Amino acid sequence: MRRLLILDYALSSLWRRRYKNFSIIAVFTLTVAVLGSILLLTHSLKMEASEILAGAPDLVVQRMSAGRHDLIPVRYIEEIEKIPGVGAVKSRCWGYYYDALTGSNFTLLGLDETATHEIHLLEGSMPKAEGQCAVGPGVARIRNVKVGDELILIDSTNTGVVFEVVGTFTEESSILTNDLVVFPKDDLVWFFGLPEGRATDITVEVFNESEVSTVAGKIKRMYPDTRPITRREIVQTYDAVFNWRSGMMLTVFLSALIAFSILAWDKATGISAEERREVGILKAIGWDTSDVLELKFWEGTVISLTSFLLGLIFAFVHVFFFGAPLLTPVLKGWSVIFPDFHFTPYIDLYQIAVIGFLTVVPYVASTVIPSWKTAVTDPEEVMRS
Amino acid sequence: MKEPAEALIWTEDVTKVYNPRLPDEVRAVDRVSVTIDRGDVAVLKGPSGSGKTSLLSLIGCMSRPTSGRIFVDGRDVAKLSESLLTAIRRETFGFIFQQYNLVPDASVLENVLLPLYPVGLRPSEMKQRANRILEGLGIENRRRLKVRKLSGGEQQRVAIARALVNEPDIIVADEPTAHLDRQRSADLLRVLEDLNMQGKTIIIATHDAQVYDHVFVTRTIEMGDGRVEAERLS
Amino acid sequence: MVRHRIFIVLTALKVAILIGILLYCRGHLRVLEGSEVPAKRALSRQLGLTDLSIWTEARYTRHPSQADFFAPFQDFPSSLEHFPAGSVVAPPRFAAPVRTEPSPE
Repeated sequence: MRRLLILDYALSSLWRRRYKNFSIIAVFTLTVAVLGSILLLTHSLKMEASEILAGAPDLVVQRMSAGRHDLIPVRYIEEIEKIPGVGAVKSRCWGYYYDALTGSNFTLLGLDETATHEIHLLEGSMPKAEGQCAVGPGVARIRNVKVGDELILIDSTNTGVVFEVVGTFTEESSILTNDLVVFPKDDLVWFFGLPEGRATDITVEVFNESEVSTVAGKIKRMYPDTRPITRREIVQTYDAVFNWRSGMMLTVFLSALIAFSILAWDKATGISAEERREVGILKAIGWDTSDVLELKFWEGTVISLTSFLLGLIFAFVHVFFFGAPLLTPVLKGWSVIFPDFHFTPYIDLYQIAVIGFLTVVPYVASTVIPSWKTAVTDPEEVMRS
Repeated sequence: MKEPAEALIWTEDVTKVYNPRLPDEVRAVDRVSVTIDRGDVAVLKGPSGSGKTSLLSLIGCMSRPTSGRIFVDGRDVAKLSESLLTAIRRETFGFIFQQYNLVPDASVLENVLLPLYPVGLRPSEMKQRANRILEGLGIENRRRLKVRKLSGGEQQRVAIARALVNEPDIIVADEPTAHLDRQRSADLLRVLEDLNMQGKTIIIATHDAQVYDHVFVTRTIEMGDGRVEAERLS
Repeated sequence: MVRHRIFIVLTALKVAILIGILLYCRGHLRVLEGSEVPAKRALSRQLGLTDLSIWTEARYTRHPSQADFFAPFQDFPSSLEHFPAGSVVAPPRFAAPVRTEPSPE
């Protein structure tokens, strides 16, 4: 009961300074919401990458020439296939296309007929015949095409080529397919004017996962001009999204966080003369030092717990229900076409606990500790004021 | 002189030194020995700076003596731990301060309830007590108002109500009439007289003749330069 | 004396909303893990996709994991900083020995 009564008094004392306290809660909530949004979005994106890209090729072999990525001879496939433990080895043909009409970049992908099994997340069908294509949702949107429409692209001889759109990937797949234009492989080779016997790179299937790097080493030794990239490396790339070193947004945000800390510190620690007097009065009329500290503890807890919970709710709603509209501009950068994010709600409870710990505890501490000095002074001072 | 256990308050050679061994050392209370009995109305009389307030805060367990002994209700309070001292202060004393020392933005009711929060009574009982006391002082219709909005006399009554809410045995008042006109001072003295009739011991520090010449005073302690200059019973 | 009750009720309400959101997200994730996630993984396998289609601003930001190591104007390791995407994703960390050391043969 005693504890609840002191909580009650803490609430009434906060209410008495409600303008100050509500503004602290507002700023505090915003801080938690932004920090929470960044962490939720990052975690979701990382998990998405590692879950989806588990389907990526075990090994991608690129060719390097004069220190640059170059087209790889298809004949390399025969030798690579002979390495023990290696399954299917396929050439991939793909490239980039700058669409001058809309100022956006597409990824053009040539597909073997063998690869066109039943494909999910696709409306219509995959291109099977010459002159057909399937497009990602971003391309469909920016070029305003749907199944049955025509898509005109300019080839390497500056001639417009008409393709028939036979399929569009659904919005759900946009994180993978947004800027894709998929053709039959021959069409792509012809469109880009790729030389005979060359491909963009080679994908290698390795049966035993633990042998992937051994196989990569063997390929590298066999063809010194190649660069094998393992799937582990591909997935690891996305672990670097928003990491502390490169996360400029976090850096910018960090300064905001520091500014808030200064504000909070100032507000919480700078016990005003009025508050000091109040503590003196409480002591004089029979409050113990521990009662006063408990009062300050409640004051800090009420503010920080309220802000933390509100901020977290905002962060969840912002990221998972609205697709993080406040953060995606930072992700987007200068990209012209950009996926319409539906973040998969992968949630790390540990991360949430960390946010809680990093916001609530320091605030409570910065409220309680400075009032210590006031709380231990002799109540007699009140009589002399 | 009586034995410590018989008197309600008994001090022996109590000394209070502020800023000891510094250039601005002040010997506010110097070897004071006084006795106050249960039911007394004791007045500490003297000019400002004579040590009245310091002695009052020593007796009221608000500060500790530099040397000497203080017994309150038979207990040697100079040696008690801080939290026990607080408990005694809370249970035995009700304070009326010169500046009232109310929380100006809190309501009258809240101010009166303040000493009860750490006690842990049921809220209904707390309110009952406060309302009864406010009624007794004739300010029950003010209880929702902020203290800031009350007149000086009303604030004084709130301060008295707060001093009474713990049902203390001893009321300690420091210059209670300092900010009141004659009429209001007389009202206050009537309230204190009533309380004395109900069996409360009252200790007042004052240099107001209207107070120390009042008929209800049973014990006058004259102070000067931190010492007791004269003590008489009436 | 009702203030603490209001506070406790409001806090409990917020915790309940939060738990509700968490449970909803978990349920939704279950559903997605049963349908959309495997479908996307299959798509990645069938089309041989190695990267998320997020940054289309430059060729080395579209496929960060396949990026040209020595592309023009790209000075490893901080080259990605040329584009806004570089402020969000660090350069790929490859298992260096496989690709940078010349082979003994």
